[in-house]
Amino acid sequence: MAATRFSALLILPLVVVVTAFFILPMAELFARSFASRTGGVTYAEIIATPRYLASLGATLAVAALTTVITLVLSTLVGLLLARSRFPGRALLLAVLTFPLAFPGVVVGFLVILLAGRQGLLGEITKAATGEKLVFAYSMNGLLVGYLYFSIPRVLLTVIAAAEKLDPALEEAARSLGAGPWRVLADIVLPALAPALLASGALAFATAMGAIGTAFTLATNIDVLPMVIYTEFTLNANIAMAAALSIVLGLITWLVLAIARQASGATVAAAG
Amino acid sequence: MIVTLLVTAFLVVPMLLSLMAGVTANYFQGIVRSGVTLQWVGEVWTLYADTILLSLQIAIATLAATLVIGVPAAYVLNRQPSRISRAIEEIVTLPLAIPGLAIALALLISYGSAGEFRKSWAFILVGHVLYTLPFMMRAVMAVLAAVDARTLEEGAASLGAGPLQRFCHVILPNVASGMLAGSLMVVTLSIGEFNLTWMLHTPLTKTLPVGLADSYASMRLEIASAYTLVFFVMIIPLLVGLQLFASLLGGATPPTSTQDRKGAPT
Amino acid sequence: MTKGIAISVVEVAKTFADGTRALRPVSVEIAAGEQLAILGPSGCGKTTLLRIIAGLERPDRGGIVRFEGRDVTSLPIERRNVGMVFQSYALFPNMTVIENVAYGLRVRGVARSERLAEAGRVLDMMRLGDLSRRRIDQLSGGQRQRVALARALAVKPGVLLLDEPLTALDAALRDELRAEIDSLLRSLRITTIYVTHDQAEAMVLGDRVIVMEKGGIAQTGAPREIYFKPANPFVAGFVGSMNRIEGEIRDGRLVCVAGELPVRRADERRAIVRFRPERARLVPAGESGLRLDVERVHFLGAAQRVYLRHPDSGLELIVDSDNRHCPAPGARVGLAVDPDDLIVL
Repeated sequence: MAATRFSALLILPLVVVVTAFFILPMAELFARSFASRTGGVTYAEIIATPRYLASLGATLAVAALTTVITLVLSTLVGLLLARSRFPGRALLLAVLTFPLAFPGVVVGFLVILLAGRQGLLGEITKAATGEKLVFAYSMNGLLVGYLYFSIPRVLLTVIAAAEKLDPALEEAARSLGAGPWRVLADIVLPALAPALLASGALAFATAMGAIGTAFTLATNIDVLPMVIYTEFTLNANIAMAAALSIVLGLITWLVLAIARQASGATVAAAG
Repeated sequence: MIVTLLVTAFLVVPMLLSLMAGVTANYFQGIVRSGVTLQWVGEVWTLYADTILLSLQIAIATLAATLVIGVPAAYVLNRQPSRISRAIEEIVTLPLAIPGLAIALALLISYGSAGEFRKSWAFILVGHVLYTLPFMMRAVMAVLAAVDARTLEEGAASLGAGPLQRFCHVILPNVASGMLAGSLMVVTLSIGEFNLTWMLHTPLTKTLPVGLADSYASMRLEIASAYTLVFFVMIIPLLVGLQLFASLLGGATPPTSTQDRKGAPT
Repeated sequence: MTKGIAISVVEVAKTFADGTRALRPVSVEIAAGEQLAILGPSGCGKTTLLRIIAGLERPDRGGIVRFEGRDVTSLPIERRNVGMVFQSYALFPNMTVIENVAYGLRVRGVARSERLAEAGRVLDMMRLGDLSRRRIDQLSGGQRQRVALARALAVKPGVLLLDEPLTALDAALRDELRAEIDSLLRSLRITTIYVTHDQAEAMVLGDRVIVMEKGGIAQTGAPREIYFKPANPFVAGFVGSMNRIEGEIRDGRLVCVAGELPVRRADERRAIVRFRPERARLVPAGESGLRLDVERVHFLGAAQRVYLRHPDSGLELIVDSDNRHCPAPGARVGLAVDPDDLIVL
């Protein structure tokens, strides 16, 4: 039928582009990731090399910490903002979401402005206590950077979900005697759970794969993306870089897939 | 609440600092003592004009590519929902679930030796298209579903319109809002893309974010800030546009959806 | 079971932040165990009044709400020990049916096994026992309504407040549940306050009915009183259908465009006379002073509603007659009403 041929024609560009530039390269990446330079299997070497394991551990840790702190802060702020109306609210919300579009390098720069050698916090603490507080160039600085671009994302999701909450549910809980904290714990948080789960997973995956922030803050930061980068560009160790990338890719994909399953299922049950 | 104020300050203050630093004559002396100046912005233009222009060029090319590739594909996927369609959608969205680093690596391994292509800005374009295509397609598919495109098509077919006519006369006009939202999204993401671009670039094909990374490493604070200021000036109107659009539409589009969608690469 | 409490509402008014005057100062005394229905069109203030009694809204300064003589005006709802059924039922989607019903007990610190047992008892009483483990989205509208009621009853409240409990249900279900709720709540003897815009519901469920209009009380009384002796034109028109004729009363007759009608009142230049459709009778044209044409007849099964029209003046009247004889559309008929059934306000 003409319609089916037409459809096939319309989707052809997509198929060609995605196959040529995504599927095939990824397949080749996977294929090339096994044979290590030293003759063994790269994945086995990864497990055997403390440096790689440490970097993986550090990356997981900072991503997990980012996610937890982001969820807590964004939920508190999001609930408050969702329920209040004040002049300038729209402006505030707009500004709070700008960091979503900043590349990691810019966020790194902002962290330096805040907590670097000539940073604002440094000046303030020097004036107040005589000691200059500088933490931009360490894992702490990285964490702060990750928080910077994670909080807006989760915040928006929380506000959107909170606005969909049925106020009658909270009134019903109160009519049965529940005080504000009970209402939060028993009614509000369970209702927000799918949104929190999904956006939390997203924050985790983004933090895992981030390189720009670490790049700008440089020196003593050894997260997995940086290791991959050095293996590839400085050591020309393509197979290892590929293997580490596959590991990283699998982790982020898995986390997102699990979260999608879990939040999808929860949404269905919540009716 | 205190938490809200602190978090707000945390997010807003650095942006303001950076804006301010970009126009301060001397950051160490502060803006009050050394005065406001546009000299740094001028220097940025001298040093980095090519990166700014290249970023714009790539963003527009990415937009054109995602429109041409994504809109018809979105139409087909919406029209024929099936397991294959869902699989295709999953694959198209995969670049969002995997770190840009990995994708860039894959591209380098596969096409690294393809001389001319590898050295041109088209190489970067490919990465940008892979990354932004899901957003364009999602925006368009959302609108297709909202206007019940299939029924509209049946109506047109009943009046005698053939496939191409239906696509041009009925589908395209009705997905205009989706295309617009998707376009804003694609351009914003492309201008700010770093993870992929960093791996794929050459000294001759540097985009704005790549230039920023350079300047943070090697330039004085004022220039780096001015450069960041230029970036803000480019990106903030787009962001505002996105938000206005979202509120007009009732929120079908920006990266607030809880699906596996990442915002800017980091 | 629990004893119902007496409630006093004194000069309670409410103006919202945006300037809407939802409630003008009203005062109501509700006896312990009484079933009260608050009836009125949307915007009349009935829901606002209910929410103030519940503790979800605070009245303007000067308004007082008392439970058993105790001033509760400044107490929020979570401290008033009320049972409330919301219009949308507001069942918690993250809990099963039995967990929903047990929630009030959980908040009060009752141990798990005990509260589930008690919740089970309440569900059994409402014949919902086998739904205990279901999730909310698996329930039908009627089932949700009863679960919402069970949840409110489980905490043994002193007063039960229902906000349009049957509005969301289809007609057949509504009738069935109306009877069920009525008999259940009467047997429990809890003070009950219903809010509804459906006057049939109000009259079945209430010992006493308060009709509200534009933030104030239009009339209070037993259902029959409201129906047969409306105090003002609003109540007359809102509750049930009402016929209305304007004319002059002279020598014991109402003289109007459609003819004459015997009436027992003093002379009056401009009078408005009202009567219920079911109290009027169709008679042959020659037998009555009032003559109109039949416009159309609606056969309702058990009853028949005849729409009459006076061709020259456009006056329209309704008669509910027995269903045996169907008058022909276009026919000229007479209308007779017993003078005792005429209402003049």
